[in-house]
Amino acid sequence: MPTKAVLIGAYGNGQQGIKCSLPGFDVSVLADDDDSERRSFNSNWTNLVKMAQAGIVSGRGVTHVIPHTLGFRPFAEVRPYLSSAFRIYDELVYFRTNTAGSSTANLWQHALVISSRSDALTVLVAQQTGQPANAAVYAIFREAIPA
Amino acid sequence: MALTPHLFMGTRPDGASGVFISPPGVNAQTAPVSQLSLAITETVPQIVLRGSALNGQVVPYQLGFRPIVILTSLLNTGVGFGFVRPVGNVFESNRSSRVVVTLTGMTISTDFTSVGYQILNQSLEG
Repeated sequence: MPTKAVLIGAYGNGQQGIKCSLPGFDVSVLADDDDSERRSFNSNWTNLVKMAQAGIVSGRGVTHVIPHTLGFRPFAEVRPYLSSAFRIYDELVYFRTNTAGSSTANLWQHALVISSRSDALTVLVAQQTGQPANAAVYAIFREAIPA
Repeated sequence: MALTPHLFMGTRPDGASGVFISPPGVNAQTAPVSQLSLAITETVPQIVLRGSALNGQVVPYQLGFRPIVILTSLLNTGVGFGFVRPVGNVFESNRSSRVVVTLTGMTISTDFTSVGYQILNQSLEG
């Protein structure tokens, strides 16, 4: 029998609403209602982080200014991206030890938010020579960084 | 006692039609869209699929385009991702996570326990 994924109406604990589960999890299990790894949505959540803007900036070794009109300093996520291979990396500023030949060097790449202002996000895409990322993907959230 | 509509399907006073869901205490029919939990007619960027996966796992989707993906490496399963992330793994030597995004799915490569992913409704190709 397939796992129930959507429930609209009474939850069975006195609450009503609409909720959806992630694949493999039964939406009727009350204990999972506040587990964001088992629920994709629950209308009883008092706050959902909304996305305001997403996209790509291209060019390594430079800072990119991404304008927005939010009027507050938003949270954002940014990740290194190799456009020629459609490869996206994680958030880590990572070092890779190169032991080729007799030389040893630490190789690194990163995509970082340099500043989050009320009208723009500034992102740096940087790495040592030979590392692949030439761009970054980003997402700006409709959620203010507390003052 | 008047109940506040938590879920509204139809045309709102502002002319928008669709499905609208509000958080507790907010009227789904009349409150500004910015206060709603979900407005299905909105075209703003959204997360359409998320989860966690192990090294080598293929995550299939049928979006019709190569989506933007936000990855977060996880040191242990069960740790949240997004704004809540494990700490202390910055500068890990020779460890990372990455995906190659195709039109029909992505293959996870990670040197960590697992990786959390958030797939957006935005194309990598503009």
